[in-house]
Amino acid sequence: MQLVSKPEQFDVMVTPNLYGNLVANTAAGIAGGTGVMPGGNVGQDHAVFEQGASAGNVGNEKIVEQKKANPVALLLSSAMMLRHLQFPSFADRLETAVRRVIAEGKYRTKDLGGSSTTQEVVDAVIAKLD
Amino acid sequence: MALRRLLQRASINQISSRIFPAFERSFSAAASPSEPIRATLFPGDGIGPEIAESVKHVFNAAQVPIEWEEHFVGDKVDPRTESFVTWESLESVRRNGVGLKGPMATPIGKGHRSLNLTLRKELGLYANVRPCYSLPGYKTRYDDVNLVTIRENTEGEYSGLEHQVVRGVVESLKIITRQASLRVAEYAFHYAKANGRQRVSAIHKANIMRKTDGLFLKCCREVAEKYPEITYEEVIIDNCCMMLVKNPTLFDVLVMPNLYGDIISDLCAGLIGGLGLTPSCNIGEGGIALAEAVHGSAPDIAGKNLANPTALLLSSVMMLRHLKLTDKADQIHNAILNTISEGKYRTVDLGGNSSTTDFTKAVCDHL
Repeated sequence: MQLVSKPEQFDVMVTPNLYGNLVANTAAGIAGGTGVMPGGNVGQDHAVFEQGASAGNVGNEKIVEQKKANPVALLLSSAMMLRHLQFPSFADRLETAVRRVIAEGKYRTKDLGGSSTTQEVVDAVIAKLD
Repeated sequence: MALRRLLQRASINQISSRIFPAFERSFSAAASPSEPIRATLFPGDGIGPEIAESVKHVFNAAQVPIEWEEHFVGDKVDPRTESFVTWESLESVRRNGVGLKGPMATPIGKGHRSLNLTLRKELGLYANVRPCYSLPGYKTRYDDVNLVTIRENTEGEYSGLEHQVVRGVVESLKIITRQASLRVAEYAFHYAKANGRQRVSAIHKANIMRKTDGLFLKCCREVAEKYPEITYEEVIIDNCCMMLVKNPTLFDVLVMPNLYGDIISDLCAGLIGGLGLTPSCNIGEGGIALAEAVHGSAPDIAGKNLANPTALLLSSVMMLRHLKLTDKADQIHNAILNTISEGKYRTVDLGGNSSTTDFTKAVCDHL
């Protein structure tokens, strides 16, 4: 309830398995959807990075055919991976480019209210890399 | 006449609490317009007594045929109930079939059960119903919310069966029974039909918890077949959480096991403005209904005439609907909504500066 009415009061949340699933999806919904939320799985020896929340952006045939999936979540997750590998400058560059593309608003996939394809968003991110 | 009704209802409660009737289960008690209905009132602690007074005022002004039987939580543990709620209080609710409960603070200490747990177990309250709708005139980040959460309240993850396996490893048992799942699903569909709702969604995680949530779903499906006019769907809990915060208008009636119900019903309360505005009603065997305000007892503002009685008032409206006193229920409901949407009399928690009594008077005036 607090997350829904006043999400700004939270910073880092650590939870057990089930609650974490629910909280992550709720937070993703508040922050713009599962298409933009990055995430990672960290273990003793390895780390695997993927979308932060699973509901909804796993996709269906239509999205695959029309190539309209939102790449932002996976791009930001890969930035997390770069940070984990101790490449903070690359990570920063990637994140800044993605942020600029979203802020500009010209290239957005359907879940963010636009109509661009995956490739268009990716090209825009590459264009904004410095 | 009254004696016969007393015996009738007592015997119904006795029968339905012993065996599970295969025939029609009574879901609500019909009211006879001639004589007043007795209802148990637990004002509760903290701000409880003040907001209970509000309800009494509004009911008087609307001339609702209800006679209140007030019971207070004692300060001594009653050995018959192992809690501060006395046997007489419980018998009162069983006898009357309806009750209204204010916030109760469970005293700290050992040797007694929590008050809510006592009420739930002794009265067999199996379904917790919370309608959540956006209050016109009170804006939150989410508009047009209009859904009802129905939560199974007796088992599931809250069965209280936890034990240590070895040091550092604790195990908890989640119990799902066919009986309880069928019971809550029946109530959900009955509620949907009786209140003109179109869709019932069962919330689950059966892809991971195949046997427990799977059984719950199976029971919901069975009941769904008996109500072909109501659309039935199944939504995975994480999807549900996300959809609720992105687009709450997608949902109508939600039915779920205990833990998910706990989380989702509070989430939905957050969507519309918090627990201070959320009504709630617990349904028990034999058509018992105990409406309650789910917010805390707010001891810091107790006695200062600052409390917001909306939650308890809306819960009392639910109680009236259960008693099929629909005109009175609508009348009071509209009065409350109009008062809030008008914006002139709002209590402190809603951003205004009216007192409890001012707000109550405004509601009475709007009747």
